[in-house]
Amino acid sequence: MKTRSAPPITPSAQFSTPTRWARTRYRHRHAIEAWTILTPILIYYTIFAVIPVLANIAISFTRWNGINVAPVWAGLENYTRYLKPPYPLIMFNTALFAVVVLLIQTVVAFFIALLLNEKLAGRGAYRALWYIPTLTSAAIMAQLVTVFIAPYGGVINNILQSLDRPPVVFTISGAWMRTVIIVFSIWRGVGGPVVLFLAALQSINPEVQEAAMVDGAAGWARIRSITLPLLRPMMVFVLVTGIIGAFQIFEPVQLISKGGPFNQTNVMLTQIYNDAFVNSNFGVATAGATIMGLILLASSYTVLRSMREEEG
Amino acid sequence: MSTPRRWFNLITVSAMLSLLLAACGAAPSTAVNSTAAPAGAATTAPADAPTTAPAGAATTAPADAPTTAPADAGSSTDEPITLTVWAEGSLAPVTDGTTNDLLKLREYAKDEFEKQHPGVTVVLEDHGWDEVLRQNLTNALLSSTAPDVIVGENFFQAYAALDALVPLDQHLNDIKDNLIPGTYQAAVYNGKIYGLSAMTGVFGFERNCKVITDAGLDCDKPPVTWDDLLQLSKTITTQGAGNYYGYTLQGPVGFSVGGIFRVAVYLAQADAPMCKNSCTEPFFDNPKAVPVLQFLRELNQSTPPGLTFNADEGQVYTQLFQNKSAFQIAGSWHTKWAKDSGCPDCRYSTVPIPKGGKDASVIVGNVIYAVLSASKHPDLAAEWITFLQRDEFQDLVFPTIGRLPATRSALTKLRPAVGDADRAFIDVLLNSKDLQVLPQWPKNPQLVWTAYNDMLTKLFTTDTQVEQLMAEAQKAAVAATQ
Repeated sequence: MKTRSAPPITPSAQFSTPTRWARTRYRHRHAIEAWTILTPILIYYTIFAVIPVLANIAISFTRWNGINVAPVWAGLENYTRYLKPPYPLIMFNTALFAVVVLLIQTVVAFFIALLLNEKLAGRGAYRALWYIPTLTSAAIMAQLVTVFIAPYGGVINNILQSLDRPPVVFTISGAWMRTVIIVFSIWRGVGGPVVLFLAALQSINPEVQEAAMVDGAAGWARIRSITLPLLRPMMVFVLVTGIIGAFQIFEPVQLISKGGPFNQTNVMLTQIYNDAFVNSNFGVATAGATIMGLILLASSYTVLRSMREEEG
Repeated sequence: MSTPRRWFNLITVSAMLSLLLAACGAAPSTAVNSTAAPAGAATTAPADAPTTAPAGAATTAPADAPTTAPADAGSSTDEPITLTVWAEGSLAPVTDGTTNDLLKLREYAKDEFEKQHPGVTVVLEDHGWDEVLRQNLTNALLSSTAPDVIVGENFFQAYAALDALVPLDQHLNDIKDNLIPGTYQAAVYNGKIYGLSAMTGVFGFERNCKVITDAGLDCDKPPVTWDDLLQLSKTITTQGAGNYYGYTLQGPVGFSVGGIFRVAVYLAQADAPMCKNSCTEPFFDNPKAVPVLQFLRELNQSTPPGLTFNADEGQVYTQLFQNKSAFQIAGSWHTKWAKDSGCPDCRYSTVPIPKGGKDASVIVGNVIYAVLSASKHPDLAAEWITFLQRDEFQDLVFPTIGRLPATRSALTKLRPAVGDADRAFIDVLLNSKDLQVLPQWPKNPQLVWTAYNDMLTKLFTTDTQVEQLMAEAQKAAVAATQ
């Protein structure tokens, strides 16, 4: 380290010798750059993510109406509420919708992407058609669904009536309303995964497919042996982001079924909203949000881990 | 990490935080300015409107009204005061240029109050109704941006219980006799009045004469008893042969109270309240309610198939205007709605009563204003509320927006000037000894109302004994309130 040892001080060198601050600045120039770039976003995340999450957890251990009384310590009371009716049913509904929607949506999206990847006339229009529901307001789409399933004068019942079939009162059937919520969620959410799968499909080298064809791999065998393995990273991404989205079903329940009948379509997100703003019970609402966060963490982690294990 | 580097990083972050906090610190002053700006703008905008709006009202207004008007709160200070009022649609800022009548009422209220309270600017804001309003109000309270005056219909007792509202009793000495108790009952807690209705409504009974005459019946003889109603509804449904039906019944949807509001009318007539202990606890297994629910189950047989479970309230009630149904319970706004919807011969009467029952109804579409404890100008806010009770304002309510005024004097004055249909509703408000309101559950109203709606769903879709359904509903409701 001789080269770094201080040179003898001469009158002319006194002015060129860096100050202590300048030396520190030079030594930490990368850190300065990093902090300068990162600090605004870190502050943003601290204010809008970290602090709210911590506050949410803190409030979940209190009794608080959110109006004018200070929160009162309640221990695990709000969490045990989730063991009493109707909360277990609400959690079951949430999990049911998440799993069914995620699985069907991913499979459907994959096959739609395969079809849209083929060279056919009007391909752009087909792609747009699948993505339009994702861009359209959930309120408008919910209104459309309501017109279809209205028990009296609805499109489906009018068709049934014209066929001399008895009307179906969808709104009083848990099975029907669950189906409506699932179909709506898939219809609205499938556009995103389709675009992702399509992008991944187009990044596959055509020569790989051609080589497989030369080797005699037919349609399904090619999909199973070539396409699916090459799409695995995208599959992981779609599943992880999809599971978060699938657990957060809100609009169709809020706008179409209102959680009914008999709470059979009520989900955690709508109940969190109702606990906070209808029941003025922020303790239970934040406990629900915390439970939901933990479920999402666990689900995402499980999916990621199982995918990695498969890769390993 | 070495110590100097750690210190350096710490200083950098602190500096950035300081800058950010400093920036945040400046925000309130600009925020105050920004709220003041539209207030000023609003005062200058509708300058000429009030001269025409209150003219008719002024001729009939009692002369002594202004003597109680001037506010000490408004005039005792030189500082300009902004009174923020969350208003229902009819008083809120109008964005649609075609609703000139709404504009008249709003501008009259705002301009006249400001004229009588120099230095005061009234800012009227629309933050929705029902669920949306509750959400916005909670957000405003959480963020300390709550208004001085709030509006609503069915949550005041819960807010009063939390000391979130200011009692108005001391401001009501001169006007209390002129108020109709049912209109402010929803805002009474522990014997104190926390809110007053600016405009109101009540349930009556509506019939479509075309459907009734098509079925070969006499429309001049409306059903008087429940038995009459059941019999006529069955006859009309049979005669209709799938083209029209006897009755429109709004059923349960989630925790919505739209259908429950109408059920409450029949319960009131049978003296079978759905709550007990000063209406703080559910009483869904009230034995007196058994015949009411049996009656509703039977009545549902005469409704258009599936309509009872239609989630769209508007679609449910317009079926009568479209000649698909003969009878329904109707709010007082139906008179105008029926005309606008093309029902030239829709008529109104009191709701049929059960054997041994009483004439009773339920207040609905009730626009109550109250003062928040968080208000910066509680006295002035209370004056705004009492200002809306004066004849000058109340006399404008019906001509401008077709809603019913909430004071005895305004209703009495209005009565001879309206047709039979509106007069029927005014008579209910003026004469009924038993005007009730829906219960306001102190805990988990969503879960309690869901329990009731679930009971109604089973009532209309199964043959399960009514008593059993009521017991199940009571169990679920009690669990929700514990």
